[in-house]
Amino acid sequence: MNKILLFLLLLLIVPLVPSVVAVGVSPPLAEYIFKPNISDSLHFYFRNNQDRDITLLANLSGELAHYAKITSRDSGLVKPNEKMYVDIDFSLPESIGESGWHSFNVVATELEATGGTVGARGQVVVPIRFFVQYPGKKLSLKLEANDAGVGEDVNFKIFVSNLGTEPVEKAKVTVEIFKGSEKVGEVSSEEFAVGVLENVKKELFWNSGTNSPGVYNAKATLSYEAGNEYANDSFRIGTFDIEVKNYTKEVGKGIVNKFFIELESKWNRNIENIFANVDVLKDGKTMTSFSAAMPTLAPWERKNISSFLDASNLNEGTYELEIRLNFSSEGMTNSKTVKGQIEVVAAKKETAVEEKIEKKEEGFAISKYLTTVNLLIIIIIVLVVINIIILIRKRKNEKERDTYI
Amino acid sequence: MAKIENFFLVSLLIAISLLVFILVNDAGKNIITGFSSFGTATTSVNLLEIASVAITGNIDFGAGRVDVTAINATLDSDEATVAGGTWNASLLPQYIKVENDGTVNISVNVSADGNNNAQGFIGGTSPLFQIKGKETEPGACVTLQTTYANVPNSTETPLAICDLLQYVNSADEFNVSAKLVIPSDAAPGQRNVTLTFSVSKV
Repeated sequence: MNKILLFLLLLLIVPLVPSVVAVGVSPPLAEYIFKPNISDSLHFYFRNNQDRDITLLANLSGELAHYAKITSRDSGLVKPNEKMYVDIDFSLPESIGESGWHSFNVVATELEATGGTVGARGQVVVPIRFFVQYPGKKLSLKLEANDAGVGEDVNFKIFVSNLGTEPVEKAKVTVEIFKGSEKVGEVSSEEFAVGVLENVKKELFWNSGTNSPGVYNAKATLSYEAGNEYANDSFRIGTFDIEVKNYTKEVGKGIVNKFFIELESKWNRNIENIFANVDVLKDGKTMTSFSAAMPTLAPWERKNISSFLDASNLNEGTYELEIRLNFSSEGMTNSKTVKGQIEVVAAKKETAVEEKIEKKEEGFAISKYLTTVNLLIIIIIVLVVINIIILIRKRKNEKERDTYI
Repeated sequence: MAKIENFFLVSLLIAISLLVFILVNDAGKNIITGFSSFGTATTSVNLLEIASVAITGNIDFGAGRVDVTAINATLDSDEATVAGGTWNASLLPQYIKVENDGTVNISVNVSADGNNNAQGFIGGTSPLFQIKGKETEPGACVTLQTTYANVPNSTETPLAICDLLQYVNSADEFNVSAKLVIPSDAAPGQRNVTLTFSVSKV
């Protein structure tokens, strides 16, 4: 009885040792346009989303921290699913320096750590940012180039912001497209105006036409009254194809071997229903075959497809390999055949790095499910089962006793 | 028989207590989704932005010493290897899990507490204290530091281990492993370090 209780208590105590630390803060950011002598009050909450009490600490850091102060409590014990409210007052001087961003940070730290040789704790840093406008006209430029397929339109998203104190009347963006050092295209916007502190978004399209699949560079130039701004991005033109990047090159004789084929999508959309049929040949004669399947391959994704090669009837030596791939995307289908070689050797060698990783991660996968709640549920189930057994035995004993009396 | 009845009562009490504990602690986590009623009403939802991080686990290499013939020992919590020392590699692999459990994308920077870079934490001649990220959910982190990099102390520039960690549940976490090189002339004694994972909205 005592041993059982001790065991149950141990089960109970072990999972309650904190192995998770966490902290959350809302809002996660505050931004202001700087004005001389600006002041304000800010209110944050620090959240405890764990199932135990935690101690949270608030402090201020950064360039402008000495202009701010915490007016509420700066630390405290926070109960599960509860919040600690933190108030900050700041009062900035006439000037805080050059044009651009300046800031101080509100920092929330959980004081407990996870222990061990290398333990950890969580911290959330909330920047309170102040933007000092540039004198006169000043624009900023950001470019986002999206991937596309051969013959499709490439979409360029252009973000322009006026960071100056004066409006810009005439701005224009030109995007030049390069394959390596060769210029292969150009698109331009019409002229547009950008007001003070205004953000403008423009979209330009360039048809990739017959340009070959691969990586391209886009260079955007924003011209306006005060000068030019530049931005770059790269994009890919895809083709409906899958490339075999690698496969298991060596297998053990007389055993079933795990076999990997590393595939890379060359397409800018999902590829689905990927089937690989693999033949192992000797002098053109098929010695063994197997197949593998993969439901989807995301755009440009590189992923392993795995199956098993039965080398029971293979002798040591070099064999030809033929991998036939069939795949589809949005109603289109494609297939291709890749040829290579494979060695059958006496001793089984490691077939792929991934196999080793899978084994390593097994232990971690178990610990993932070893949560406090799951353990408590298991304890309850065990106790209920024990009780049912005790009840059944008790009734059985009573029946027997009644029979004998 | 009295003992059996005692056990029955004690275990029933424990079961009920545990059940209450679970219900109270997890009511907000959608384990219980009841409390519904009929009727019509206008609903407004205000989704607040929150930057939040949850860190799970630690890396514990246990006790050991550098082999008498070795100039140092190398411990790798990801490769699950110990070279040149007596630490128990079977305790490995071990990782610290970093999860974005907020509602905004975050950057993750790391530094060690106090003076605990390699020299402060381990000491001796040419010690090494490095960490790296390991992807567990594809695409969770836009740029993850996947090769070992030196851990800075609290006054040095923090290590940017992930520039953007997403908050969507299917892709919001990664693992961190540690590598130590312990020189034979490092002073003996227990070593502990705490890594601070500092996150900000991006």
